[in-house]
Amino acid sequence: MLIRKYLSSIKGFSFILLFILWELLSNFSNPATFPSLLSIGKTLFAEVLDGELIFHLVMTLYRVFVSFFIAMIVGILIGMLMGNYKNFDSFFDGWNILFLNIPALVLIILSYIWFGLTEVAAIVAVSLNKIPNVVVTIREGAKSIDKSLLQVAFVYKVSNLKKFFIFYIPQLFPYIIAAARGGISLIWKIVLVVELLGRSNGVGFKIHEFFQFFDIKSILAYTIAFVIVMIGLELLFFKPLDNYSRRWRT
Amino acid sequence: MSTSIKINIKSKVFQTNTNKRKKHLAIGKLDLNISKGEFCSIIGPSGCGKTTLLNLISGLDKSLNGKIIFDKKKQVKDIRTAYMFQNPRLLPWLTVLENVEVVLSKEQKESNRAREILNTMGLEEFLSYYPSQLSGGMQRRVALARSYSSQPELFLLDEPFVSLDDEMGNKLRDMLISLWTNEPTTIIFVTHDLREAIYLADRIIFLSSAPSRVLMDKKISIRRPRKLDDRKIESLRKSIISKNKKILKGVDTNA
Repeated sequence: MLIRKYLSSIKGFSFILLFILWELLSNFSNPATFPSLLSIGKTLFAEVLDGELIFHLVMTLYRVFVSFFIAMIVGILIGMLMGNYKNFDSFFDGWNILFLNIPALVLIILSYIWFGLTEVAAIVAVSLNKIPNVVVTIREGAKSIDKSLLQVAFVYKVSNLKKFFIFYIPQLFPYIIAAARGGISLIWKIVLVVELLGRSNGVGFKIHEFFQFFDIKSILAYTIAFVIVMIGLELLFFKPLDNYSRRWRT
Repeated sequence: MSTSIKINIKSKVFQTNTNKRKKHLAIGKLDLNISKGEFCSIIGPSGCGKTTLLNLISGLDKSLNGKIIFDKKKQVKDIRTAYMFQNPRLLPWLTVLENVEVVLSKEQKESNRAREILNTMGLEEFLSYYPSQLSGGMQRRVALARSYSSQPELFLLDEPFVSLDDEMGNKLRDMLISLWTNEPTTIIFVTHDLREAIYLADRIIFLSSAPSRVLMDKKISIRRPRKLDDRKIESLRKSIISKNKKILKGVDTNA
């Protein structure tokens, strides 16, 4: 208990140190390129009141969620097939390695060229970037499934639906959560690039715009707003989900 | 409800993993008839193919040269089976009650059967516990409750009470007998413990070491209810062993 308190006080202290360092640096440099925390806060507040920040944030979140769910569903399906069937594994393994190593930027640009500067192209590009990672994680999970529990389902002639959702999926759940957590943090970073390159709204688009005006204050204000939202998501969604999935572990 | 079983195995072969051409003959020619509601114990040395036999009967292992028929014409998929494994094999993410209910049909679930059987086994206070919070003996009780709640026509048990201390093991043996007395079903109980087999079964099949075949088929006519410390159990055990010294090692010295 004492140690935990001590460690969390270190965490708090390191944050304060970071703020102090920032303030010091901003004091000694050009406020336009290195704005103070207070001025960033003021900008953030004004942008929120204005409603513009909220709009772009919502657009970005919408893209994050749609591509997140597409990537998860497709990745889980392929990963399960690859983990369970050796033929699938051999067939898709090469593709997967190829896609894992294609730079995100290349997929984004190709997607825009092939599908035009559309919403679909943006979402396809982001999903394609994430799917191979999900596949790798889920495949590991599917390979480590405890078959002895599936035998129980077989012997008692449990329906296939029940067998899948009660005997199989819970064994995969820790892997799904790991893929989802890693997924969301990767996806939102890619979404910003996608917006920067070919969308006319969203946080990425705005940052591009501010970049052209050299408006560092607004760039940082948008960044902070977005980071806060993503941390909130982790705390309010993934943490509780993770705890729920571990409730039976002692 | 219970089923009769007619087993006619010509051979059961395993392919060894290391050498594809090398084959291991696990079971040789083995014919066995088990009647409805019989408590049949199968005994044999370790590695003699007892578990293999249960897996064939339950349909977990389908590759077989031979036939296993239930109720004169049915396949294993047509009857209700229960299987108690060496490990309890409970689902760690389900509570005790859920673990039992998950294998039940809708009607069985609505009849409150799971709760009743868990209660008679002294688990009423642990319905909402997860398996990891229970002792090994209690986990096995839940597994037994799960098996019996499903109203099996055939109940297979593979050394289910091994690695329990005597007291807990005997408690579970008595629970099994009292469940079976109330609702008779056909039981095949695999063990390597002759005393356990005599205490529980109507009939004991002695298997040889691999490739397994039936060495001896012995009816146990000690009157029920039996007592664990009944002298008849010990004297029967001694007489079986003295007549055939290596029978538990899977060798028939009289042949």
